Amino acid sequence: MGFKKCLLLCLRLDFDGWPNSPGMFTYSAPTSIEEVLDIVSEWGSRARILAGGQTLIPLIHNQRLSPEHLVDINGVRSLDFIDLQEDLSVGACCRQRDLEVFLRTRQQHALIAQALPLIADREIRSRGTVCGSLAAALPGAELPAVALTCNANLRIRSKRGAREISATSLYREDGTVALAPDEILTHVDFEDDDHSRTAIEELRYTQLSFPACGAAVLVDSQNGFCSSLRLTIFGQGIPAQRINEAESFVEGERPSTELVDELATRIRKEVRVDSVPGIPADYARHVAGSLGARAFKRAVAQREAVTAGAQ
Amino acid sequence: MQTRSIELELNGKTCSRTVPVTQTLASLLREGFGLSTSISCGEGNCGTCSVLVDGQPVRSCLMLAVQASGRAVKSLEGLADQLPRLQKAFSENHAIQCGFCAPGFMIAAASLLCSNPKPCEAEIREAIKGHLCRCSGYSGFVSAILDAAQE
Repeated sequence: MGFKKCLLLCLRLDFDGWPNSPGMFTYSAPTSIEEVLDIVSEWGSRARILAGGQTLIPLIHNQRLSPEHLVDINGVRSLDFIDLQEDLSVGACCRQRDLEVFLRTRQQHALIAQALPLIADREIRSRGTVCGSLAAALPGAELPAVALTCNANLRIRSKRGAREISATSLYREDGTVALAPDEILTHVDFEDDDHSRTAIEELRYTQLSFPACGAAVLVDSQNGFCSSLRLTIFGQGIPAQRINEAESFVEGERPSTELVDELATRIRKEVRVDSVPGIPADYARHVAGSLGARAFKRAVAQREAVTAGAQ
Repeated sequence: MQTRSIELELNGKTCSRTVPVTQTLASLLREGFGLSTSISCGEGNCGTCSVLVDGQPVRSCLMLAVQASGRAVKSLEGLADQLPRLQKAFSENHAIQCGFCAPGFMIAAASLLCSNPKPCEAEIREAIKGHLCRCSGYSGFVSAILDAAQE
């Protein structure tokens, strides 16, 4: 065989085994939630739900997951919705981009509106779903942190029944997700943020990488005093977590430079950090404090600006 | 291997195929239909395989071909009305060097100009941030898209 022919054959083999297919699996595309539940109950942990696929397909491609069956839920019309009364309810098939566009012209749920454009890039958000990101909870993903900050409630169904749990119960301390293999996250409810001031800050090494560290903040204040603070720290080596003691420390205090510095110190003490390559734990802890304090400062400044504008 | 019959609107024409369920849309477009869609990383990092699905830019390597059933897919070849001015602007601004990433960048540019005909530089940089150019010709892309928007 000539050299050229051999080279062509090698290229051909490479293409057949590589981008051609991310893995070996069977596929079903049910059209009702009951059918989905039947399938996941039958296959258990051997099946995975495919909604946007922006997390799942790369994981299969990298062989970090090898499901035997994919259940495509995009045909289940009842899961594709955004419902905004006072609370915001988002179905399992709702794309991140759709929610981003939906919230752009509305004054409510500012933290979600601020977080969505930070997710990956335009192409990923076109396909990626809100619930998919919440269920996969990759380290550094923004939406689990937002769900924790907004006290989101997650509606979960399986053939065994339906349950509703808070984001704080869904995300365990070690960063894993309390979802059984036969369960599906059907929708998420974000409670009304009642025009609280919010901010999200991130540190990324490159524009496309997951943030090394991030902080999401939701603040209420009355008469210049901070009446409540919800603060979540997340990052590549930081399982998304609320910083409860630092939150209660700030409550009832008047925002000042000293308070912001003390908040940073307390976050650094309290945050649980895992060391990951390229992000030493001490560094992550330090950055977590700085970003948390910066997000708090920015959110509080908004509050003052809005009050001043109203007068 | 499990296969499925799909029907999709590809660059304005209705097409039917039987595809393996494990095949990605990128692979179907390139190998099945012989289109210019480039495949590089295959895991959604580089943006080279971007196409428009129902008018939205998506990574075709992160979408299964079966999921394109019933959808309108547009590759670079389907941008007929926009392609000449994009090609001219890309060429004049030396935006294309080796050209491997060009289909992805052009899809991103076309999608941006559809929704925002007069984007500013920051908006352009945001729109192309998911695309990697191994020749690092990013400034060229930005000025090319600015130029294309002027026409």
